[in-house]
Amino acid sequence: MILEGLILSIFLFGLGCMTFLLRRNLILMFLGIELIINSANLAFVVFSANNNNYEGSLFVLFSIGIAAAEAAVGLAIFISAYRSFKSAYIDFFKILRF
Amino acid sequence: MSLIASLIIIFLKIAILFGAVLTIVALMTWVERRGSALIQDRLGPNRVGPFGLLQPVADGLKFLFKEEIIPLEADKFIYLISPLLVFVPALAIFAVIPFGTTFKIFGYEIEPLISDLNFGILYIIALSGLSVYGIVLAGFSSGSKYPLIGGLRSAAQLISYEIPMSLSILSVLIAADTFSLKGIISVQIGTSFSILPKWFIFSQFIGFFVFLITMFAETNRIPFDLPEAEAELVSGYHTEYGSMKFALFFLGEYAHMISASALITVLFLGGSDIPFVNLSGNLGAILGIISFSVKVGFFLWLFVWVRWTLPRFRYDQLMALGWKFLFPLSFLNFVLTITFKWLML
Amino acid sequence: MVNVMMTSVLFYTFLILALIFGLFVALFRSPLYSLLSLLGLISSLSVLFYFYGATFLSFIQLIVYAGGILVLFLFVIMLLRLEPEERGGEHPAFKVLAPILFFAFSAAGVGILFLKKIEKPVEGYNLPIQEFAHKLFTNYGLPFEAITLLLLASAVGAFILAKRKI
Repeated sequence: MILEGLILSIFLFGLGCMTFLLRRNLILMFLGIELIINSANLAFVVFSANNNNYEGSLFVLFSIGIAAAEAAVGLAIFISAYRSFKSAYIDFFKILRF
Repeated sequence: MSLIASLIIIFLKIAILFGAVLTIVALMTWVERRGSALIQDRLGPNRVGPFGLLQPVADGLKFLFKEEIIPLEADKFIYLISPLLVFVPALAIFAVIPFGTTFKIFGYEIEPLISDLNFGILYIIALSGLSVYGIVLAGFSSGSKYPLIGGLRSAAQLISYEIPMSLSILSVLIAADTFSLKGIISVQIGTSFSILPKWFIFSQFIGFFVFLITMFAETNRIPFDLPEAEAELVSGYHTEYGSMKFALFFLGEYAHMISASALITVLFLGGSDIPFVNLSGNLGAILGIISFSVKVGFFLWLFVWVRWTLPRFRYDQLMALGWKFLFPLSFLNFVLTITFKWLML
Repeated sequence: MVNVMMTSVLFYTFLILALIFGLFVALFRSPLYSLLSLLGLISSLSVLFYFYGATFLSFIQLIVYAGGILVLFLFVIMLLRLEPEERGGEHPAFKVLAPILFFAFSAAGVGILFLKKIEKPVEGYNLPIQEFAHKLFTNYGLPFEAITLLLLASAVGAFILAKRKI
């Protein structure tokens, strides 16, 4: 069970990185980041089950909190950028001045 | 108990529960129409069967024979799964609700409860969080403007009312010291000062008040039915749905009402507890289930009663009520509960 | 015996489901479908958490992630009516680099895992919720408070960013 969980976590991390690199739509890039965060959560839970230690699980709680904060701020930035550039693509955000 | 027997018992329980919920849903549509007629001094549907009792059957048959229509603009896959996303969470909530005490039949001890989950309350909060998706996706995937507005409204409404709901549930959890619904019921058995039952409706009356209001909002009933306001949005997120797909939305809404009533009963009215009566064995279990049904029936009637009595809120009033009144009130209740708990320690 | 078998069948089913949903998140070009795949992934991960003994976390995952964060994403996608991304606009270097990186990373990770040989299996480990809460509010009080501050700051920041007239 441990090994399979870790392998899944590695794959999810790789997929998240790939999504982040390949997509230009900001929302899709955010989803890639969420994928990465989830893979980290899975790894934390697996290791905490492996070591009979719940401190890993505690960190999952914190990481979910950070993910919530990241989503809120990221989406707000996205909406305000979308308003001024009228586009969801990151290619248009070359000028970092609003 | 052997594995086969326990499996059979579980499946029987699920089948009975499913049948009961669907029957009550059918009955509720009749009660809704006859009740509205009673309140508005009309007769209501009285042609099909005695007192019009077979009207739900006729309605169901009508839904079955309607033509399936999928709008051209719709995103087909999401359009087709979103009724299920409304219907399934509404039914899945019943899996953790304890309907009474243990029966003894043919030597088997049977609990009227499908799964005694340790984290029953968290399961319910998670499911009510997931039930947002069905409505929002239905509104979005229809490819039409009124459903979109209905979906957006419902997303905002459900998320804002989930906070007071969770806070009032948390106060009950703190007062009961357990996450399990069975534990919450067992805490409420008995009387305090030998006058009042130990139900949380008395010790947590602010929480009860807030929870009742948020339940109206979570089930999209008047006065909070803005996602499906007929007059403004042509009935909102399910405008583009017809035949059985619409019927699934309908069933989901009524199943959600029943689960909300059951939840209020379990959390605040002691579940199957009958005050001042202490019976055990099969008789006690049967009386317990009857008492549970009476309580749930009262709240179901309350849903109908309120719907045909109160007008609808304006959208800004709805948000103001949620964030400026219910949220501080439930938070106050939360703090009070913690303080009392701390003083009692 | 049957119980153990059923548990492992369920575990592997949700493991494979999680992998498939993860692939879908990466492959879909439509934001809505990608988001729904992420929802599926998160739900399957929450079931996996349950099998790893972290029952509380599995519900928190559903409540906070599926019921909160993803609804926020869905809300934004709905509000802006985002269309699927068109093909062929990727940076040419990334187009080659990203899959290579993915395969190299996965191969390296899996290789290291097999070399390391993890022996200890899980034996009915269950997260003790009381100890968990005690630890959270005593030993990890500072990170907890930091997270609450971060959430407050992000809520205020999001409000200001989204509200400002540009």
